[in-house]
Amino acid sequence: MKIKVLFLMLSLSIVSASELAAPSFQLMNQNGENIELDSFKGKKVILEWTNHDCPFVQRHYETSNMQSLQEKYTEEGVIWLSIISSAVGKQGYVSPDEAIELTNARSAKPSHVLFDTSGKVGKMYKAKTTPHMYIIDENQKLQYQGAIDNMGRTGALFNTDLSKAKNYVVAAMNDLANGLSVQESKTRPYGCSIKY
Amino acid sequence: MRYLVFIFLAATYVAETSSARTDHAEISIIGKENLIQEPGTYKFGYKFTFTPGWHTYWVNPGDSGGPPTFTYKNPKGWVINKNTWPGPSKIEYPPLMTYGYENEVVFPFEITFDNLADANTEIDIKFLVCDDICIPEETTLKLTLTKNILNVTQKIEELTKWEAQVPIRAPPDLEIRRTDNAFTLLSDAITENSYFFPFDDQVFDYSDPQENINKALSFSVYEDFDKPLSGVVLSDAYYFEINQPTSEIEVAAVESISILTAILFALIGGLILNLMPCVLPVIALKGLSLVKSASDSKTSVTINAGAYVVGVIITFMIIAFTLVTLKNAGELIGWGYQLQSPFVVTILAGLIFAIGVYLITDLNIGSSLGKFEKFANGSGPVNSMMTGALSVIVASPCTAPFMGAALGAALIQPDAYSYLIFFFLALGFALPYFLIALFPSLVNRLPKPGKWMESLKQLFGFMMFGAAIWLLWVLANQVDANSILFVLIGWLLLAFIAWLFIIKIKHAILIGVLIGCAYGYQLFNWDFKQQTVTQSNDSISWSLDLERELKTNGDAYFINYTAAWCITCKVNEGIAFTDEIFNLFEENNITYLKADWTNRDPEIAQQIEKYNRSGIPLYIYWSKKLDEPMVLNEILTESYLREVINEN
Repeated sequence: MKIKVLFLMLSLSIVSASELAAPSFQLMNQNGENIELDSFKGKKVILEWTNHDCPFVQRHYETSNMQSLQEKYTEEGVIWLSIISSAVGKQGYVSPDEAIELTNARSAKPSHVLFDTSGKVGKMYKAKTTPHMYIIDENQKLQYQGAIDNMGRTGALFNTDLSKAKNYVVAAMNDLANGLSVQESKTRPYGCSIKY
Repeated sequence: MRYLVFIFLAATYVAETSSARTDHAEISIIGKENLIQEPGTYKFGYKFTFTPGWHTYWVNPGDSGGPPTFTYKNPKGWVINKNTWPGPSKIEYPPLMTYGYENEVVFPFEITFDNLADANTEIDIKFLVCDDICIPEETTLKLTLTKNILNVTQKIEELTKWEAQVPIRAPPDLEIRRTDNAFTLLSDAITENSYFFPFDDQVFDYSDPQENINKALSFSVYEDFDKPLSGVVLSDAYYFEINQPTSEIEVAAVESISILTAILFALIGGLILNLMPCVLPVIALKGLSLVKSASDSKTSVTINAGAYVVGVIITFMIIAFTLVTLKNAGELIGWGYQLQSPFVVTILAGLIFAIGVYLITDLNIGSSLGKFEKFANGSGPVNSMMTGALSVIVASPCTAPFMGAALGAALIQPDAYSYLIFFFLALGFALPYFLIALFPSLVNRLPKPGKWMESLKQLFGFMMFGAAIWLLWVLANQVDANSILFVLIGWLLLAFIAWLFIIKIKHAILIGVLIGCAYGYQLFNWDFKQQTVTQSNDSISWSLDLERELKTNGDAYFINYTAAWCITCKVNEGIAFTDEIFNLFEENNITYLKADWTNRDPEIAQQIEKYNRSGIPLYIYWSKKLDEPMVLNEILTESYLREVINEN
């Protein structure tokens, strides 16, 4: 019996060790405040790499797909960080004021919009596309990274109905809420390249 | 003169070509010709010219982007086939790697015209055009056929150039090796600029480098990558396609039957074969001769029946040996393949017809044919053995539809198992006589000889004619009308020769042999022209590219692997594929694809092998809800199809 428990604990520790720690970072938000990932310990955090001029991102905002996710999870106490890694002058780059305007115009509900003009954080997370989604759990472990849903390639752009898609973020959040390990913890992101 | 008028018309209609301009691209349809003078398949291409430096994507775009989509409806009498994908270039935006076409591209496609009446259709084209940034654009091209002129721009060279970029079959020396997480492709066709572009999404990190040393291209893949490798390889100025055979990879949903089950099926199947319309008469003939010999000694009955069993088994083993040898030589074959050769079908049909004639006439009484009579009716062990061999040969067309699963299992197993399964098939086939050989007294239980035997024989003759008609129909699906005429003349001659014997004309044998030789010579030199396959409008003919593209786009599909010579297929098509089912296909946006295996087609054979089958019917269904394509039952009913589609 004791051996069994020991074995169970051992295997549990192996499992948790295999989960990636989310690299910590601090970035400026739309109000000029410094936002640190470490300060959100004990809460779930969702990262959304975005670029408002990218047609794939536009598609998810025009269909209110992204906003409804932001609303749903921020209401549950999850921290939603929309990160813009576009370099100054490149597509998707906006000033803090423009970011606030965009958020209002699109009725977006992120906890913060963060500016990563140097691309440091994006590259640290190996963010490739917009959108590119990450879920970080209460212990700051990376639980999901990848596409927002399974409408990859031009599916998200040219398909009229996005509701049929399987949303990976929702699936992963449900797994976590049910105390399960995330079934699909890594998928291939799709969209526009990030304009580092 | 008429031709000149056409050319003149062509020139005037060029003004109204199918082209359009968007913000960053100019799109047009180009063709090898724009004069559609007779029904047939013509080659075209969607041509994109982008703002310099801009690009669009291949079917697998790599890290970002997506391929163009083409949406259209076929006008009556037209079948617009899906476009093919020329091999892509690497377009690098570190840290991203994408696959696509810079500055310009032509996506070749074909249209089959069954009907040349004036018609038009619209093709909606949606695509992403990108440099640093991406812009989705769309346009609609109108394709119009007016007085045999299609409004496309004639650009032969350009179309030919891009057609040459469409991947071709992999070179025969290609070797695919996998060690842990790395693949190595070995071939003389690997050149300095070679690069592997995968079709599937979850193969490797696109930006990972590929190593290319000395005719060997290596790259690592994800640890959990467990699918067959498929994609295209750049080789100098052209591309070839790789489709790793799936023999060592499990195909989901296919239950490979255990060896014991296969043996049991083979035994039962063999036994059932005795009842086939093309076999029963031959076997019954042997039975009748046994009835006659009931008075003979038991040993003689045993020897005769035993010889027949041996004949059957030897013939089956020869077939097994041929199949296994071909399989090991890398030939892709499947059961039923023998009916893909018009020559073989002609011979079999002739043989069956001749047996029919023999059965309904009183030829066997004619003394001039004493030897022949002895052969089929006679009682020597050699003759019995020959009858065994004959019945296996005559049975071969009938085995295909019924033995698919067992023979499929047989050919995919190691050689020893293949022989074992064929052995049991032979044993099952010979079982009735095997029992008689073991228990000769069984013969006494058969009814007493009498006039009924003659009537029964004649009845069997009509069964043979039925089987011959079926084979002729198979042939009619493969060859042109002249060849059918030629075969029927052969039948006429056969009947004529039979009549010569019946009226006991002098030198009947000599005349028969002469006619036989003359006809045989013609047959050997006959050029069986393959019929051009005409497509019906409700189905699209299958191609691997098309299937892959549908799957990539998440579009559901149903593939019907069929052939004219496959009876079960035809029965299924008649019973299960009702109008309601086709409506159901349409409602659920399921593309119905037909893979016609009436004639030899290595690509289809390869697919059938992939699903662990060696024969047809084979039905494959896939929709987004399924991870892997689903292999349906061999026997279909409408309700079963409905269930499959509604539940998946």
